[in-house]
Amino acid sequence: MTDLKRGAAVSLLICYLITVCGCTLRRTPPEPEPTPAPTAAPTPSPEPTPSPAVTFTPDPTATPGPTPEPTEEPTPEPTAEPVMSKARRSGALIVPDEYGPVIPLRYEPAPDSFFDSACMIGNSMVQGFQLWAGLHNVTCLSETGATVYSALKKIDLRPVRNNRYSNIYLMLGLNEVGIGPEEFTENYAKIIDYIRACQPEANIIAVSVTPVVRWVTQQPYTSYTLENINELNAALRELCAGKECWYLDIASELSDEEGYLLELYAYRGDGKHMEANGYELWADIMRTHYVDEGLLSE
Amino acid sequence: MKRTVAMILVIACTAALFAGCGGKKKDFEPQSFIDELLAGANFKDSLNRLDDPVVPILYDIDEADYSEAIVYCGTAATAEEIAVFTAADSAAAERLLAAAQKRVDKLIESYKSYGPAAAMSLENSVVTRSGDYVVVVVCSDSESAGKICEKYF
Repeated sequence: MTDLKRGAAVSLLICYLITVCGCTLRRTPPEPEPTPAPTAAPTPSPEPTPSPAVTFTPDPTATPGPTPEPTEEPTPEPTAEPVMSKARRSGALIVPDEYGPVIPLRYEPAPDSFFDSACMIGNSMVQGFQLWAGLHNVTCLSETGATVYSALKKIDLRPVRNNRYSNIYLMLGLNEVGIGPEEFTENYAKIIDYIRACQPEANIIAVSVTPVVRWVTQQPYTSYTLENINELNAALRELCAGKECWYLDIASELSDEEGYLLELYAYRGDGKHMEANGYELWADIMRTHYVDEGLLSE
Repeated sequence: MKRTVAMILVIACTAALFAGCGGKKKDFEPQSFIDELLAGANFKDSLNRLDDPVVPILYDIDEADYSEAIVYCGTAATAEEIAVFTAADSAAAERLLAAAQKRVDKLIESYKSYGPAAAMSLENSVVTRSGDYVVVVVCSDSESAGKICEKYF
């Protein structure tokens, strides 16, 4: 018998044997599963701690269920900022409410005629305002060098006693920067009380102490530091909140990013007073930050 | 006779000689005067011309009392100021002069607190009237300002 015939015969024999073995295995019935013995109700076991790495392997023989329609993730509604009331009535006055004492930016600027019934009381900054701000109808009562100690004695306040104003602005602080916030507000409060007694229906507005230029703060032994000025203004805001007065922030607009008076507005001779454009900006801020009944509904 | 004529001639010549000693004052024109002051006197402050509506408020005067008012003020850091009023008439000029003096007196009182230098400039300030003109000049360098004023008044 040749090799080829022998090889073919062996292959055929192997296939026959495989076939026979397979049939034999199929014919052997599976052994019956043992009937489980009846057991008591299982004791509930504590919930297993879910494994963080559980993966689900789908059964390939399971008939796939209907594909659920993709539901759109609802777009989260923007959380509305709580609306804070800016002003409320207190008798005849319009006083600060939840928003705080800082006069907010108004929707519409006030016409210049709004300031026909405005009065401004204070130091030489008020003199500068009178000369250069362009709001000629504001009654300006001032005294060079006036402080919270001297204002009630040095400034001629007869118009405050004899006339009627709707808004009274107070500008003090630049001559007494180093006295500290407690002393400052204690005496400022006396001025507010006096004005309020004379003008019970006028809105009282404290104007922020204005900054100074950088080189002024670098003079030896000077009390003109940004820290001192900022402290006074912070204390003034707090005083206004407690006294139902308003606070007009002009300092922020007049200063650079570090808080120094912008050279653009500064009188170079002393770095504290302002050129005409500084007072003009002050007036512009007043035109867009003012107190009237409209603030109750804005 | 000859001696009498000679005496008369000498007296007449002497009189004519002394008549020229007073010096001729410059013709006064408000803006030119102010320009000369700003250029020639050493003002410390930054002076700018005031808007017209502010002037009667500042000086507490009646607008009817003057036909023109040119006022230059500083930044309020100093009391430096220049004002020239052209009065409506002689009586108005007197009222303007009184108001100008009152303003300077008030400034002296106010700026005393700023120190002796400020007070000094105010003490030597010029408040004067020349015909229908009323003039106020307050300058830290009162000497240089005074010399310019003397050319006119």
